[in-house]
Amino acid sequence: MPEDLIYLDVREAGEGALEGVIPGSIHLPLRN
Amino acid sequence: MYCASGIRSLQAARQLEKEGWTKIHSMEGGIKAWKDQGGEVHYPSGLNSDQIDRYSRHLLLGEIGLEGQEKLLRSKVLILGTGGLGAPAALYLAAAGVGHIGLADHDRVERSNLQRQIIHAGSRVGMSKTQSAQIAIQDLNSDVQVQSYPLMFDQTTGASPFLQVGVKPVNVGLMSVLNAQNQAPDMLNKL
Repeated sequence: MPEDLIYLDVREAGEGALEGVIPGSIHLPLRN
Repeated sequence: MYCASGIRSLQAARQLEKEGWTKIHSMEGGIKAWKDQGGEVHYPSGLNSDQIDRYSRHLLLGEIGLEGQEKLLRSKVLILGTGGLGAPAALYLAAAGVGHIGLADHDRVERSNLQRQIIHAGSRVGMSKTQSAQIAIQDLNSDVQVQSYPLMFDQTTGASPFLQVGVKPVNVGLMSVLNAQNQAPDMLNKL
């Protein structure tokens, strides 16, 4: 994983629990 | 930026670009494609894999999610009476993953109960209701810790039988015994 990239996870927290998250990514759930 | 399949993250990336952000990229195919290509993932949950599977529909609900499910698993509910109301309530709470359920009932299972008290079974006629309900709950969901209180209580005893046996503090009390509605708030407030 390139170190100069910041990964933003825009899913709900529950989705990350089910599907996994990319290590080191920042959780920023997308809300309407 | 990533989501499950790349659609939401693409929408978000476009919106951010409209607002002047640069160097925003949406991961095509989302986390699914990432994993398919051998990308590393971890599972940031206090739940084990069986629990993630069992409560997956809860986890997908914004109103519950991971945090809510973990809270449910830490929650304590005392159900007074495992009859027509307490029986289905206990089953639903256990299925939802309420982690600690207290059951209070002094009665034994009778065949005539089975038409409505769905936590009990024909094979358990004659068994104490708390024991019967405990068997059903633990068969349904082994995450739930059940505490049985085979106690007699009524309007004269109030909460005292529970206080005498040292009932543990609960988050919620459900009163499902007949003719006890008026004393429910007072009784439950003492627990």
